[in-house]
Amino acid sequence: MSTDQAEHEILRDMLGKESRRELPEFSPPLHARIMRNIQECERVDTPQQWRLAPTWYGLAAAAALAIGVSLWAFSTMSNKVVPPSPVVSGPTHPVGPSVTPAYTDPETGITTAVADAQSGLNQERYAGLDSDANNLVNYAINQIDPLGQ
Amino acid sequence: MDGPPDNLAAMTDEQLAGGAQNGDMRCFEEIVRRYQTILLRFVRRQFPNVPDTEDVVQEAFMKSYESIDRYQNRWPLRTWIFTLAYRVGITHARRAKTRTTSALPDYQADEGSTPAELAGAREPRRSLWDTARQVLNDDQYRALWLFYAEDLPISDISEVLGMSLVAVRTMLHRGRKKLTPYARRLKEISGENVAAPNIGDAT
Repeated sequence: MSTDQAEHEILRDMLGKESRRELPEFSPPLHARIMRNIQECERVDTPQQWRLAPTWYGLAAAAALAIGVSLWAFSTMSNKVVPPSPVVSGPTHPVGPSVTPAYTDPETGITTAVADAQSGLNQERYAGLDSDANNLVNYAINQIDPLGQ
Repeated sequence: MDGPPDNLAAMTDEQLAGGAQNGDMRCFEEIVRRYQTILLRFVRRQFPNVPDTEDVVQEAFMKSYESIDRYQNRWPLRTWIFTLAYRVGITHARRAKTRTTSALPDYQADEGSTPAELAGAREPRRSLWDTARQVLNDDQYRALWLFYAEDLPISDISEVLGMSLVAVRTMLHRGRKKLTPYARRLKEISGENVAAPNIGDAT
């Protein structure tokens, strides 16, 4: 038998015997006290659960309300974040009296309007650079032809 | 009274726990009947500075009744009940410690004394468990108690004390090493009608 095993056997024998000797007698009064306490606790617990129920409902309602308010606030904030683009009025310059040409011919009027619109678009898109380049090319071509002659 | 009590007595702890989970109060009462004295001994030994150990036992049963629905029978009921009692005892012991330290038993008042000083112990007849209380630290003592007095396996002791298996094995090993000389000495002199050797004798 190893030393550890021998120690274990000695202690198991002696400590086991001692602890069995120390086991107290079963106490009916203590048993009755424990069971009475448990039953009282059970009786008290039942109405408490009912009393607690409205509290839980209240908490749920409060949580729902909080969520609703949060959603409303969020949607409000979202609207504020992307407001409709405001009309920013730039510095006002004196503008000469606009002369509206009298378009007697509707076809000419339409063509002019389209050309103006196209020009405006190009102006916005290329800042007029394309027309400048076009003019420059035309000028260069005009210069070359006389040289060829 | 012949039918149900006999059936209850034949039921295992885990079957009784199942019955209690289904609301059968007789099953829980049988659990109390089985563990009442065992827990009382456990609490008296582990928390000697707690003035009313019966309160600890009662609270442990109250807690086990309140949480019986959470008991899972993959653990032995015995381990579960000891765990609850141990935790309740710890709480009571802390309260008792904050209330007063003057009423501590001798073994705690003697903490820090040398074995030679302890050799002049006042009690003429001391059990080996009393000696263990003096020479072992709290964890070693608890592990030894659960192992030798309550017959719990190491895995269950680790569950009750909230320690790893390795830690419990270490506690047991060191506890045995420290206590065996006293046990041998006690065995030698047991024929002389002396309950336990003085602490200094075995060193």
